[in-house]
Amino acid sequence: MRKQNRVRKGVAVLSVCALAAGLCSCGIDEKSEEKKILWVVTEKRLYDNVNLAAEFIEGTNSEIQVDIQTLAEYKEEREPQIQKLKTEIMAGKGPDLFLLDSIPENAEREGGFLIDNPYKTMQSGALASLDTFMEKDSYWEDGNYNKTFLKAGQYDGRQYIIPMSVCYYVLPRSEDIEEMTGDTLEEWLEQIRASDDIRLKQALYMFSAHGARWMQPAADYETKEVLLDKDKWVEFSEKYFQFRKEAYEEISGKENELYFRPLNKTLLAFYESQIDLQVVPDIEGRKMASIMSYGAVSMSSDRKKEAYDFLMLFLNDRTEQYRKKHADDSSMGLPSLYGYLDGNYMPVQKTAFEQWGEFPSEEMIQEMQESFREIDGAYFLTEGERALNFDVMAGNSRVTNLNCDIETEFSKIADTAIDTYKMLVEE
Amino acid sequence: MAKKKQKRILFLGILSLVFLYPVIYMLVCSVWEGRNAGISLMGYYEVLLESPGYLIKFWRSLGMCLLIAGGQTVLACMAGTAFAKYRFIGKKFWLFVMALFMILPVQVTLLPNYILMEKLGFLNSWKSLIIPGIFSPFGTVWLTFIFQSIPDEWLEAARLDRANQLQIVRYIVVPASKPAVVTLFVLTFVESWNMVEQPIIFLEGELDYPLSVFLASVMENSMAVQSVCGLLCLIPVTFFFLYYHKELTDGLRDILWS
Amino acid sequence: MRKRNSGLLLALPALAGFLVFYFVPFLITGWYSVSFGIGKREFVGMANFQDLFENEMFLLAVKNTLRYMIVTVPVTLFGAIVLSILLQNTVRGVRFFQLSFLYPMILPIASVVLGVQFLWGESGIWNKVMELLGGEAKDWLNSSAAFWVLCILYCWRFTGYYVLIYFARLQMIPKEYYEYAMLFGAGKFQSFRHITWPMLIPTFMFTIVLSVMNAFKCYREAFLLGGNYPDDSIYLLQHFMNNNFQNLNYQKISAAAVSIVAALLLAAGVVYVLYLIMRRGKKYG
Repeated sequence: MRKQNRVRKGVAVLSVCALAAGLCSCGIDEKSEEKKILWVVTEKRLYDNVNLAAEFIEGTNSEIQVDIQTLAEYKEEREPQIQKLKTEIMAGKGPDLFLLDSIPENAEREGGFLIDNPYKTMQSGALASLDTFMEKDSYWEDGNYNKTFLKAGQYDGRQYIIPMSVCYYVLPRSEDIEEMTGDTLEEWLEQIRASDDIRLKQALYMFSAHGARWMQPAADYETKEVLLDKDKWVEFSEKYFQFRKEAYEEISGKENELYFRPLNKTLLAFYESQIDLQVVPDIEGRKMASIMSYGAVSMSSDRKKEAYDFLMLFLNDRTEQYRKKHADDSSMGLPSLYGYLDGNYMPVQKTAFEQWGEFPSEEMIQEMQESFREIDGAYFLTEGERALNFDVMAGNSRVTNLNCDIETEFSKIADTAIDTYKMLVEE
Repeated sequence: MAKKKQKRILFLGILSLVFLYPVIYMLVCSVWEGRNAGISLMGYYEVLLESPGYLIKFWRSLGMCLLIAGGQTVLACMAGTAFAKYRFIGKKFWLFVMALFMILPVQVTLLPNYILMEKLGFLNSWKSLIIPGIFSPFGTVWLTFIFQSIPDEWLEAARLDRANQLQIVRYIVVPASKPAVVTLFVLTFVESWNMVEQPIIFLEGELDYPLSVFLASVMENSMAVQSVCGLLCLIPVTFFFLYYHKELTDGLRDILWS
Repeated sequence: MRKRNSGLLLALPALAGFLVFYFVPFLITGWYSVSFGIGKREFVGMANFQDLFENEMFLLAVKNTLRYMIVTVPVTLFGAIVLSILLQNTVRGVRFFQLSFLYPMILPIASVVLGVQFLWGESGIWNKVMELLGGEAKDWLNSSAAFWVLCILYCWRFTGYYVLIYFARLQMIPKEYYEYAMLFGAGKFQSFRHITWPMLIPTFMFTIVLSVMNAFKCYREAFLLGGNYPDDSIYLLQHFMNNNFQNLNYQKISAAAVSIVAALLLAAGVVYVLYLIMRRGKKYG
């Protein structure tokens, strides 16, 4: 019996040792010293430009290999992919660079986002602060980046995210349409209501699909305040939906000629020239743009400098310079980028307008630049905006089709929105 | 007296129906193809005959859960006996800690577990799901409580007969608490069957996921298929119950007469 | 003759596995809770905890979770005891009843939630009946009534689980005890009080721990009912944890987890002391 016990004890001790040894040995990574791998995560919409940038980087720096991971489109694949990435990121083994996009607030993306709420992600310590790189980068002094956009990507005074494209709505006004003199959306409403021009009424009528833009920014994530003013918002909704009811008769049945549009290539294709672009303000007179794509570097990355350089390829003229320098080379040149990442939405610097817009007319470029100057700031689209937008559309149908009372409906909607923002901000 | 029994059975019966409501709902869903198509067996056809994917997932999930339940039961019997009837250093402390740890939700230790799995090389294999499942503290803690009620004299008697520890576990403790042991098996099976977060994180690729992941979110297009799969889930446990019911209800009676 | 053998060897496999896969990861979580940053973590002491206890959403989540537990735990446990005693003395159809009580646990949650929405959703049966009776139809799942729906869901889901546990324990009580008691003229209630209940107490304590644990597992239901940002009344700790997980803020989760464990330690300490007292009473009884 004793011998048996001793043998068993020995076996037990041995197995514990084996377990420990196994744990330790598996910790030793095999490091391949060959190439530094830069792991970039992006979305399908941005893939083409990211790929060009990858080619450029690999062509100019033989030590780097860029691995581009594109997030899946369909829910079944995308959801688990994102969960896994998030775990990897938190475990310190995630991607080096994020080049992600956002979708409009009235659209839905099945499977969710890798970064649901950029504001909160900045607070989590998952992203690296880019200040040290930006200070040494001359681009930020001489370049054309619209600095008002930078604030959204800052937290606690440090820059974590760099917005790469924005979206704001404008009224494309040809000469025969009267100019909007008001500063706030409410004043525009009054003017349009009093006007005879049915086109303006059509445009304003359709703006109900963008309820989340009526008052922005809706929340401040640093001070943890909800900025959405319930009274003003409900007041405006009452006036707005009242207007909609009155205008319905005039508008129904007629083809829509005028819309408040986002400034994108569709607009440029539609209107060749001779129009004045007026930025649509919000209820409090602010002109805000939503950020539609952005770049950020991971805190756990070992190649922060390389990731930052990659990111900057979309903003600075490094590729241009290279092309000029090697214009005489007979070998296949490296691709050029023209100062923008996102082909769908407005770039963040004026110098990119021409290329991005596929060479619109001089006047158009002027208009674009003018409207650009008017923008007060930018914000990220979060669950708050999407939920609010969705609620406004639902409220719209209830008010129009079921004839519910406007004030009660929109009061409820405002309450829910404020609750949601509160939760988002405080969590 | 008979009337009282009848009343009781009636009460239990009605209660069962309330509990069974979603099962009934699922049965209906599995044949209802929406307002247009009405009643159809397409769901069953697709799952059982057309795409083998679901059945494969089912059998693999079954295998995995059986392994987890089996492993946990064996380990828990051993450890439960040790905690209940033997002494060793820090026994009370470890028991307490184990009881406490049953409470933590998955996300809490998910990240450290992920790092651990990576170091051990278990990622992307079902080992990462099975092995932690086997070592869950639940079984040990519960069986400790159960085993405490087994009279010490029985163990003394066995020891006098020169039985070693494993034999004591196998021939005295387990038979005396068969209902509990079998119940543990069933409960562990059920819990591992419902595992969703770990497979998503530790496994790569949709094909590897157990059935529970597929059934965890509502997919509007394939409601009938989901319902059929859901009904499939009920089969293993039903089977256990019907087959092992004797073990579940036998009490100490067996031991006393042996 | 040797005294009691050391049981260490017997317990070693389970204990070792527990250490590796549960205890050590928790210690790592503990480290995460007092540090900040991904990649290169820096020690920040109690800063994370301070932030946590000032965080309104965390406090709301704690309040709701406690409320939730206070309602569900007693109802489920007492219901389970009653049911298991009823089952103990029934001969026919025990299997069927046990099975039907257990099914809710095995059913995939998605189907369950669909069933619930069918009943209590906006276009659900409950609303239709209410309208017929002249009452008001509400979106129950997005109002504060969602809390009660969630409670009902929990009771319905986990009662069978506890019934199984109690039943297993009850089956181990020799029938002779009851026969003996009847010989002495003890009624049903007395035999419960003096035979069943004392034998059930350890299991009862255990199920209290279990039900606390299971109350934390209700995330999927609440998520499918109300989304990530549901009505205030059903915003539970798991929402807080999950949302912070999604936002990559692991510090907050770790701090929350450690706080929960610390709180439970306190509570468990109290319960354990009570248990010891009761057990001592039983030994002398």
